[in-house]
Amino acid sequence: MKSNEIEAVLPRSEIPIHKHLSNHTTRWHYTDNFSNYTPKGNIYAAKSFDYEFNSHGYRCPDFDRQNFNILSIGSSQVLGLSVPYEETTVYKLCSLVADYKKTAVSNWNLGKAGVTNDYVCRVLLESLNILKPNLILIHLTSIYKTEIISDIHSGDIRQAIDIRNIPKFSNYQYSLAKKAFNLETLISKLYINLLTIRNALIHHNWALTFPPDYFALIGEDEVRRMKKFLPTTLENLDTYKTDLGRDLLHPGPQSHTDYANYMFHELKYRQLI
Amino acid sequence: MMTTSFKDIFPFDGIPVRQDFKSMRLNWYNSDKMELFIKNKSKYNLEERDILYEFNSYGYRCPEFEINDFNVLSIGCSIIEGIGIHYEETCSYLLCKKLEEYMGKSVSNWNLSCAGKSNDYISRVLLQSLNTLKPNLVIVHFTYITRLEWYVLDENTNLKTKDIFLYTKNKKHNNPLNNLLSEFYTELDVYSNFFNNYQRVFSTLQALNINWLYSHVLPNNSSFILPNHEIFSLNNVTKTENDLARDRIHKGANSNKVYSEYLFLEIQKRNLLQ
Repeated sequence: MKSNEIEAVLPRSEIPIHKHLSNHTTRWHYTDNFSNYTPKGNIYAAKSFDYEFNSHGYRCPDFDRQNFNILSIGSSQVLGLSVPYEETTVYKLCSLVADYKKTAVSNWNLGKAGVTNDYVCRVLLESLNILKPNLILIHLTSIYKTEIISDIHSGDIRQAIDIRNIPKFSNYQYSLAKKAFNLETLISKLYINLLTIRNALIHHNWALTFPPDYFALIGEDEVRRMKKFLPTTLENLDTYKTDLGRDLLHPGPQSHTDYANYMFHELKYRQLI
Repeated sequence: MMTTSFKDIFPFDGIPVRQDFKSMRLNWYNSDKMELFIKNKSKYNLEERDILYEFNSYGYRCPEFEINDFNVLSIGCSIIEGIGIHYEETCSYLLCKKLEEYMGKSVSNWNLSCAGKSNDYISRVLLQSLNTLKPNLVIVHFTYITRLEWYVLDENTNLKTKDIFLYTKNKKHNNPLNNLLSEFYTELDVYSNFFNNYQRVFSTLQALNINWLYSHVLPNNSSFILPNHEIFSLNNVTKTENDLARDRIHKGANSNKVYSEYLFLEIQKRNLLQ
C-alpha cells in the first residue's frame, strides 16, 4: 500500500473539499440531469436554474461567519437537488431564523447528493471544530447505502453503494455488497452513527431528522427516546406526493417551504434558535 | 422477529453486557486452551500455572465498575485483556497500581478489553459506555485493522455480534462470511474503517473532555499515520521475544510490566493526570 493512498483516506480536521465541484456552476447535477429531463408535468423549464458550488464544493455561500450560523448535513434533500438554491429547505429556514432573530444567519449546507450516513457522520466530525456553528441540523439518509473507497485520484474518493438498488450489470464489488450486508449490520451501522453524532454534539444545540422507515427498522420507542429528533420528515409531508423538483424524483419547492416552516416552529419550540 | 433486539446490544447509555461471561470464573479462555497447553508443556518445558479468568457482572475481566478517586478505562483486544497471564500481571492492572502509588489515591481499573475483538468493537463499546462510566483517563489500544464487527441472527433469532477476520494474501478461512467480506473490502477500505473508528473515539473523548492515550497495531509501513500520536503498542515496546503467556501466542508477564511502565511514563510526560 502506497503512503499517498493511505493519506487520501486519513481523517482530517478541516472541512472536506469536493475538488470537482469547487467554485463550479452547472445546469445539471446528479439525478437532475438533461437526459432524464421531462417537460411534461414539470414545474421547471430545463434552463430555469443552475447549481452553484462554493470554493469547498458545497451548494451554499463560502463559510463566512454571521451572528448566527446554521450547519446542515445530509444528502440530496439537504443539498436541494432539483430545486433552485433559494427554494431549498435550509435556505428558507435560515431566512425564517434571520427574520425571527433580526440578525444575519449563515447557511452552511454540507448536503451532498447520494451520500451515506457515514458521510454525514464523518463530515460532521471533520468540520465541527472548524466551523463552530450555533445550531447543527443532521438529516440522516437511507440505511441501505454503504460507502466504499473508489478511485483515490478522482474528485470523489468515496462512493456510495445502495444495497437495495444494485444495477443489473454492476461491477464485482457491488454484487459482493449485496450478499455481504444484511439488515442487522446495516441497522448496527446506523446506531454507531447515531451514537457518534450524539456524543460529538453533547455540548451543542442540534436536531436530527431521518427517513420514515427508521421507525420500523429500529422501533418507534427507541426513535422517540432520541430527544433531538424531529418526528416529521420531508417525505411525510402531504405536499411531497404531488410536488416534485426538476428531476421528478426529489421534492419540489412547496415541500421544501413546508418543511422549512415545520423545522422553524420545532426549533423555536425547543428553544434552539 | 428478533428475540434479542438492538437495544440489548446497543444501549444508548450504558456498558454493554457480555452475556456469556457475566460473573464467570474460568481456568481456560480464548486461545489459552488446556489441550494446547498439554501439547506445549513437554515441548517447551512449561511450568503449570493456575490462571483464573474472573469476569465481573458485566462480563469484563476487571473488578465491578465502582468509582474511585481516579478511574482508568482501558480497552483493546486479547493483548490488553491479558490472555495467558494472571489478572495481577496485566498491563492495565499494573498501570493502575503504579498510578495509585504515585498519586496516593485509589485508582480503578476498568478494563473493557475483549479477546478477538475488532476496532469496531472498541469504538462501539467506548461510545456506549463513556457517558455512564465517566472515567478520568482512557487508554485505547486499537487492534489489527483487518478485524471487523458484523451482526447476524442466530438459530433462535437472537441478534449476535460476529467477529470477522479478513484474510490476507492466500490465507482463506473456512467461514464463508469472512471470505465474502475479504473479497469485498479493499485494503484502503480497511484503512478507512480504522480511521473512522479513530475519529469517532477521538471526537467523543474530545467532546466529553476526557484525557486519553492511544496505541495501535498496524503494519510497520504505516507508522507515519496519525502524526499527532506516537505509535506504540505492547508488541512494539516490549522486545522480549521469549516472554510469552501460557498460550504461547500472547505476550507474557514481563512484557506487560514493561508496557505498563512505558504507559506510566507517557501519562506523566503528557500531563494526563490532571
